[in-house]
Amino acid sequence: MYEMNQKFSLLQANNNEPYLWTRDTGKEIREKLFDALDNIKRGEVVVIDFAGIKAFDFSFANELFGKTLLKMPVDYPGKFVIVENLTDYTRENLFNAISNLSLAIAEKKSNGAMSLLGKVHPVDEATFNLICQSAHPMTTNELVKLMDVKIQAMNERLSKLVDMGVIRRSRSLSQAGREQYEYTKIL
Amino acid sequence: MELDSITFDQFIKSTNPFNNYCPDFDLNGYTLITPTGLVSLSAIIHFFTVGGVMPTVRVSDKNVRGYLIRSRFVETVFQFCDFDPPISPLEISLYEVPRGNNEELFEVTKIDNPSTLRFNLKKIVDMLENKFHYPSNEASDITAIISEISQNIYDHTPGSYGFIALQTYRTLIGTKFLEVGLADFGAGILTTLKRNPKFAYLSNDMDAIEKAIELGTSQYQDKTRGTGLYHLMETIKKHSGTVQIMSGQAKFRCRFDAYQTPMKFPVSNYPGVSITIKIDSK
Repeated sequence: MYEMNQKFSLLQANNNEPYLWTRDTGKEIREKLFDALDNIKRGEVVVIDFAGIKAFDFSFANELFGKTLLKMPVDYPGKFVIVENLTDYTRENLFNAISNLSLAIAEKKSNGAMSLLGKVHPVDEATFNLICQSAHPMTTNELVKLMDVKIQAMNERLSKLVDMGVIRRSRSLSQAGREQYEYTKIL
Repeated sequence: MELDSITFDQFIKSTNPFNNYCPDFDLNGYTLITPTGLVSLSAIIHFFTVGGVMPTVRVSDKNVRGYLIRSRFVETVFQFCDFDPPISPLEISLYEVPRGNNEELFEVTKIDNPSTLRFNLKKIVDMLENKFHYPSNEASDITAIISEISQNIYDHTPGSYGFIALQTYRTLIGTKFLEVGLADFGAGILTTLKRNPKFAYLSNDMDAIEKAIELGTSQYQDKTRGTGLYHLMETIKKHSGTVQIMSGQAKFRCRFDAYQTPMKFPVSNYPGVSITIKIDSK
């Protein structure tokens, strides 16, 4: 059910121009991205495709990624955006841009693995990596055991990752019949 | 004598245009005018035009006049000042090169809105890669910071405009460097920042420049703003270049190839902002 996603090509959105310059360009493309987010259901993902993009400036990144990531929890709860097909150069610049805004986004690498881009505490990143590398949904208790931390600390980390929109949280029943949360990667 | 980022303030002091009913810019004696000289003088001439004043630019040297025509400085200010001796259409036709066909030069270009900026950024990145032979990522880095500082022109003073020019030079030891000059005659950094109540305490131009290069400093109370000049400094540092910001009565200069400490100078008065970037060419 989580495989439903919509590709959003930055190159196409920019009329096949490989450079993304200016805040105004960021604003125009953000409007198109919001249209794409309006057209997906809760739980689905918009995959922002960087294929063909050579470079962008920070004003563009702030307008598109900064404003989108700040609006996601309020305007698009339960929906996700991730990025893919970054070059080393565009990754470094996107990392710098969103780190400076204290934000983060999930990246789908060419081998299918997920990683985090942006300003993230190492323990939150380690938690994210465990969830993404797991073949099955993980519960808080499993993560507590694996990372050897207190349950309260783990709950804080998981809430932070969920609020950042970089992992999924869903409800399930434990073997004892209690309701619990499970965590999985976005895609 | 050169009219560049270092000497421009001295030039303004000596011509004293702000205390003169008919400002007189005497370029005689100058043999080289860099992009900063070209765009800063263009901006000042337009500043006077807004006030209904017609300055005079005095320049006799044939080579300098030829360069002012070739660099499109003359085209930029022709309607807004007198030249002494006058420049005739014949003289223009002798030196004029179709825009974009100059070697090592991106001519003085007006920046007044997002679409002209995007159009010119496309030309600049192409020129840096294909004419100046910068590696793709470096060309993008330089273009990105040009974009950042250019957007400030119309973003901070609506209806305002500015000018940009680029030129590469060969040094005596055979190396090359690029100079980017960008200037406007808008509100200036201090006035712009003080629009944000958070920075209302700022009282002088130097403090305003130093605050403006910090991450998150903007006239807007918007978390996604205030990164432009910060990234300008970071990118120039990454490429061990030089950056100079002049606004109002302050000039702030960082040479990341030589000194870690910025140099600060009081200047006479520059209406708006003038920014110079220098980076070694590969």
